[in-house]
Amino acid sequence: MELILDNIRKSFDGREVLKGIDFTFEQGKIYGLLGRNGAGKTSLFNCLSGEIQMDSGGAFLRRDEVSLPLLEEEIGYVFSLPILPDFLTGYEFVKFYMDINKGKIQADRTIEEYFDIIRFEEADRHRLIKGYSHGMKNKIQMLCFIISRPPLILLDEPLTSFDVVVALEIKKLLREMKQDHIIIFSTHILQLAADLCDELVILNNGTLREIPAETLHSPEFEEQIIALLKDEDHD
Amino acid sequence: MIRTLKAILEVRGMSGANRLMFYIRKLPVLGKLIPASVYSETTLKRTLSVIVHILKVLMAFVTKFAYLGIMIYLPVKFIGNDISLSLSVQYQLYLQMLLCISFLTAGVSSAVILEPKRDKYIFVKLMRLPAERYMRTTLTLRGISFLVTFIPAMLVFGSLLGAPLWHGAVLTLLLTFWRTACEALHLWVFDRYGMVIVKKTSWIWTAIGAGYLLAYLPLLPGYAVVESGMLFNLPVVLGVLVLGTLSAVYIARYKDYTNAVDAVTKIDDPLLDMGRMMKEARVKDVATQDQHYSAEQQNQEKFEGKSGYAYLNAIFFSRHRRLITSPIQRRLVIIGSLFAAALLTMLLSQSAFTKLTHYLITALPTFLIIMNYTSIGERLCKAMFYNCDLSLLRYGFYREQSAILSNFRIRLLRISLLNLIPAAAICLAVNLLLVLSAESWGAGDAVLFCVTIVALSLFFSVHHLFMYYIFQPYSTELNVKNPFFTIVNSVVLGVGFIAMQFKSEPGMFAVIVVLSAVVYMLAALIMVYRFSGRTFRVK
Repeated sequence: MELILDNIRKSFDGREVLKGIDFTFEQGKIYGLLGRNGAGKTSLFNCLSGEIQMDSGGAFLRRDEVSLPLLEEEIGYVFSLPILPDFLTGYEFVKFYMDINKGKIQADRTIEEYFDIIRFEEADRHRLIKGYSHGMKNKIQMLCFIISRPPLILLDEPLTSFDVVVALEIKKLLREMKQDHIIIFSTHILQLAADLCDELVILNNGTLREIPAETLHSPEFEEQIIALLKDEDHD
Repeated sequence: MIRTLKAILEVRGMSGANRLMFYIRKLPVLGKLIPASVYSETTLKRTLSVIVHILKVLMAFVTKFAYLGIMIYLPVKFIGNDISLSLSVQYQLYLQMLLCISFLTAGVSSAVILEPKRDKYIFVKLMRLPAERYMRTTLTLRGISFLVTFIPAMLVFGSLLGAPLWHGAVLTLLLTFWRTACEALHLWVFDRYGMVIVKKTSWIWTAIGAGYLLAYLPLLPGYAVVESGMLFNLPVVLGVLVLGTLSAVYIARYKDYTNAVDAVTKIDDPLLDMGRMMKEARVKDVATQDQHYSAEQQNQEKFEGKSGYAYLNAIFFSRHRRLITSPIQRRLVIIGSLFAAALLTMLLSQSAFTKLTHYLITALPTFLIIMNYTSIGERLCKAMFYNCDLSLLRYGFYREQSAILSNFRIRLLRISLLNLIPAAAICLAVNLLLVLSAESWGAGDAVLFCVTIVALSLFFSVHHLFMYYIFQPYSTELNVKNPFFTIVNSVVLGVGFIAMQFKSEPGMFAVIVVLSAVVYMLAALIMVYRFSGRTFRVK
């Protein structure tokens, strides 16, 4: 399975943020999308998830040589600011989510088992989401795509606000899941990207570019990335 | 001082120009033509800021006319014509109200010297203009513009009530000097006791309540105590002028403005940022409350059998019970008290009661407007948006056609049932009154009336929810954003007003209302299914 981005363009107020994104993401890998503040990481994710319309271009999912346009339901999107309905408890939200996606999920697990996967405290499950911390909300969002298993998972600046324990748990979770999915997560924290990702992609000046895998673990990694990000600023 | 004034006016003009451009860019068609780069066009902005200043000056004159005209002159005229008072009594009433509102109430509530204001924060805190210079300059400007902009309105309304022109001029002078004295008093109280009167909400509202009661209550029977001789005599005029002058000297010589500005420019003062305060109030109005959850936690089993959207909505409506029941209770109380008032009328004056019941029969179309305001749909839609849809709309599954439709159907049913409660109360109250009256009111008439009211209630249930789904007018701050929402809403109300003008046959009216409710409901279901995928989003 592959995600193919074909010449995606998007402007805001006459300023072109995405200038023709061409890229192919493969299943089984975690991609780190690196870019400076305002480079357009969130805009790209929003275009993919249908949150905003792209001006031109398209995104396709290729399975066994057949490419079809990417559908909204094929995407699991974890927002940088987790957005969940405050008036439900975590348990109720997950039950609702499972009801809605009944046809699409394997019915082999109970709600309680799902909560166990993300190591969610028993007592917290029945509290209003309103009182959840950032990390707890993010876990619930992650649980959504553990349940519905969408082929494409987008994570917008996750882990940055987690404490070390939760961050480690989520990292483990992502690694366990990556076989069946295409996972892209955006960040501007270099260490996180180097630590978790199999591939690194840089979004700069509105285009995507891949960083060779061997760079990722080389000692000069940081300098090279910084040089790349700076260089392209003066193009 | 002139230099400070120039600097202040320049910054005010520029930020006014920016704001103007911001709003122009928000306009439907025109806005699209203007690029974001317009903010950097300095020459254009200078021109705009001149326009802004001119507009501000004009507005200052217009608001004085609006204030005197709407608050004082028109009520006096209205009552004066109604109970045929002579022009001189009307002028007396005018002076009396002006004394209560402009001299007394405004003296307490509208003092600017210690008013929390963004302007103050920007110039003194951010731009480091010395507080004394800022305050002396702005207060002088304010005093002069107060005097100048009040004069024309005072002259016009005074002479409309038959007073000589010099009365208007002297009155403006008195008002300006009196208010200067009030400013000085506010400053003195602050200096002496460290108290900012304009921030004491209860005091302010007491002053407003008392002043307006004093102004308007005697107006109803046309009872005037004040005579022009009491104001326009030498001792009073001289007294006020001397008091005002001494106050002006006190204000000009006051040393410790730094403190006075500090006291009202705390960064987290909600009064500094009206926008934020209103936003918070709007959101709080419809927010989920924790205590409802804990109260209802014990009976979880009532959601047991439900699943999917039915489950979601059952929890939503249960957890926002207060939001739903309190407006319904309010409506029931209003209906109940109107009913009681009508019964009282019957006991006290049979002829007035006959008039009233006759009106009830002929004024069926009026209920078009009444039922619009009886519907709790709009408030519920706001609550749904803020507490539920705002977050869930971020998920693809929630935006799917079938999901939207099934959610819409469940909500429509809920809202319709809720709106039936006040509708039933109205039917009951009106029918009871008519049965007690001398009008001939048979079972057929009663049925026709009830059918119309119920159909109207359904119509507005659909209307509010449909408008919400098709226009999704709310932004995250809950102010209505989509201009089409306002336009369509006004058109529906307009149709109501037009319908009120036709004294149509009740039978015909009932048929039309039932038909439109049914057609609207079907059309809404179809259109929501077809279009909501695109329209029902967070904007």
